[in-house]
Amino acid sequence: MKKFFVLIILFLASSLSFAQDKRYEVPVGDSPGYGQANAPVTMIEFIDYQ
Amino acid sequence: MRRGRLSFLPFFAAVWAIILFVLTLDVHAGHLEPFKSVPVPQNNPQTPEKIELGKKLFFDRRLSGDGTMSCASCHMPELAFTDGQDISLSYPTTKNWRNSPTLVNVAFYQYLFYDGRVKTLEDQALFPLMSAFEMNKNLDYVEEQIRVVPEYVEAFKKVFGGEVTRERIAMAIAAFERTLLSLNSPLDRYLKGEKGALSEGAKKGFEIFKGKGKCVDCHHGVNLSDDKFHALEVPENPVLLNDPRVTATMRFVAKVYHYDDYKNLTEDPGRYLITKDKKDWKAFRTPTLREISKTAPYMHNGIFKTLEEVIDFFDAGGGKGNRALKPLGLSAEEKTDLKTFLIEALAGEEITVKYPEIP
Amino acid sequence: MGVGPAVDKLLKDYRGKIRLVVKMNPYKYRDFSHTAAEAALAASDQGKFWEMHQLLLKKSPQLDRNSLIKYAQESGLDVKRFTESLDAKKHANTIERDKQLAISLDLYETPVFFINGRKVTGNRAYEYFKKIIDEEIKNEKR
Repeated sequence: MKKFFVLIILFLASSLSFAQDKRYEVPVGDSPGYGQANAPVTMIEFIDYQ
Repeated sequence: MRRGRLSFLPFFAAVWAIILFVLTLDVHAGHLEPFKSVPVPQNNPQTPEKIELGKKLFFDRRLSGDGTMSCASCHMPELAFTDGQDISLSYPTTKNWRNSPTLVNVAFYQYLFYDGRVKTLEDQALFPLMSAFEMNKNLDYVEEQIRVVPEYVEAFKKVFGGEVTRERIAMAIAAFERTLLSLNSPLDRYLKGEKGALSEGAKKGFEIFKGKGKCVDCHHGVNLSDDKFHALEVPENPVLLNDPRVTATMRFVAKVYHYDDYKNLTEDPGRYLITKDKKDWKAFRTPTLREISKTAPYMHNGIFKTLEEVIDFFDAGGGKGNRALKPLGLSAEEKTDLKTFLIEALAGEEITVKYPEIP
Repeated sequence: MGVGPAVDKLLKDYRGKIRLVVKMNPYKYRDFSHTAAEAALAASDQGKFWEMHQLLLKKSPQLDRNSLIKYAQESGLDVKRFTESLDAKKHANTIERDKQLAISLDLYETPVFFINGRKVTGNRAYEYFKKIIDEEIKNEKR
């Protein structure tokens, strides 16, 4: 029973983090930018300069 | 004589029937109900076209003074219609002073805003537009801006049988907001008799919610809110103190609501701003708990980042000097169960909103 | 504007750890949004995207044609080539492609960031980004 309970909690925790940390596939393509292509973090910004 | 005595019987029977009936109604505070239907005012019935128009307006950046913000800026679909900040985002260069509340189940509230300043979504919708520190839009101007967009003109004609007005803008947005509902959550299914809808932990948490935790005293009904105002003495959020822009914001709101000493105001007076009634000093409306796992940070000033902090606050009997709460004495396990209930039982189906094409 | 200084500081503080990629999402009701995007991409053709990008953020909203040409000069660009590119709207297709991508991602305002695919909408404080970036760097190491 206790095991089951733990499993439920784990499942909840994982599904929650998925909901908040949904990852989108955004192609980098030939867009300009700054920094190394092999950097661990890629930050894609959709910008309006005005 | 005999006849007269007998006539008492139906009288007693009737009294007992009424008493039993009242008992079965279970109308005391603390009664939870599953979702049945959403309340819609008679003068603004829901139609698919109106909802679609309201959705377009909701996402339209024309509704802000500098065209950078829409309603969705602070009520983002992907963050359960909040903005995920402790203090809500604001118009560029200004500062907001309260947390952005979720719009999920907003249709159920009898009072809108943390201070309950209006009673319908139709009245509510234009406030953030006009607010100098939110969308900062002139309403005369927004009417004209929308009147020069042929797609909008046609949509208003079709939906309302007439021209663009600020009232109809609000009505359409309100209609869209009434579609943002927490549906088919484990709690709903459990209350309708599906025993397996809650896990063992959530069931235990539910018992604490109704019993020792006293949560139901204020969080009841379909929306888990009593629609009343309570002064819990939540700790002040330090980012609101000593920031002149926040001070300007709170004094501005206080001035608008004819608060006499607005020039010296340094804290959020809550419901008092509206009623000027002493008992409402720093009182804020009970929020819904639906979808609560997705609406952090919590409280009117976003002071608590996690549900643990919220539960600890209530367990300790609320903030210093408050007269609304008493310490609960929950064990660590009881707190965990309560949290499990809040996270698991109150999460409905995901609300998906397809971003509309803005004319 | 708004979020510019926060992003700048992130790139400095996490040198070598972050790569910034810029997609254009000019709002149709702003007069210079499209030409400013053209200017950034024209500078990119000459290998000076970053210089122009920063100037545009700094000078916004002063983004009329004459101002943009002045910024090209300041960035050390071949001004004639730059101006031709600007006037011919040489990158209209690229900008349109980015805008369509934004629509397909349900983006309804600017700026919007995707940090290793995690979405951040609107102007956020440095700490807000920092938290996500720290998590991503930690995940990467694992």
